[in-house]
Amino acid sequence: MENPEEDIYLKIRNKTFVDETALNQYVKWNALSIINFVDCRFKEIDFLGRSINFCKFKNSEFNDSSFRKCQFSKCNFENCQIVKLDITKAEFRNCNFRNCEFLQSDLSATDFWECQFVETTFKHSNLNFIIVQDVKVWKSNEWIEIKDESNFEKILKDMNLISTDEDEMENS
Amino acid sequence: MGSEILLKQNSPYTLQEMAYNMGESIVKQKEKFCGLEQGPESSENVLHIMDLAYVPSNEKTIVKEYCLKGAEKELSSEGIKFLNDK
Repeated sequence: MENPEEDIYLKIRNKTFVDETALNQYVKWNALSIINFVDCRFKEIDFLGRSINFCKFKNSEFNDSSFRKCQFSKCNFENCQIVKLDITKAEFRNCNFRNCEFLQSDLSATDFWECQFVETTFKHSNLNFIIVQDVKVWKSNEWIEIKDESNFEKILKDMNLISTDEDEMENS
Repeated sequence: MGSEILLKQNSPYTLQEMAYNMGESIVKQKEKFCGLEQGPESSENVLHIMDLAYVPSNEKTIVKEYCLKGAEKELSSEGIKFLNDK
């Protein structure tokens, strides 16, 4: 389907989802789609293998949850805190991240295809075996195009967007 | 999963696009095992099994065809085994 008009999005504001029970009411055909989450909190959610299409997450927090093997398509994340999240083997296609922070999250073997990152950081997070294809990272006033994962971590590290325990030991 | 479910999920992708994307992704995933100590030499030496059990019968061929096209784009359509593909 084409990009949906803004007015057909279901808007959910200032809601806390603890475990997946409350969130499941919005799941149809094993997918979350066309929902605008603003100021929401997701805690202890197990959302294994779901599809998440055309969803927007703004000023939201993800904590201690699993989105393992989820497929995110055309989703936007803005000002989101993503803490202790298991997103291993997930897939992000045509997704945008702006001012987001991944902290102590496991992204191993996750795919990022044609995604854009603006001021998004990865702290103490596992990026082993990720796949990166045609990703753009905003730097100062231009897009840096990254064709594959071979230099993704290096570019982000040079921009101080990735930090590990070792980095912080060195800087202290 | 077939085209009807993708529509109901408001997926931005058609069945063909989804299968093609999977084919591309499979090759890249397999390449991750290459170069590891005692690992395979090339992605063609890694077997990826795709179970089409939940794909409607009339769409299994489409999924196979487009998955292999996606893999070919990544220069390796060998080493992909389809289960329940009839």
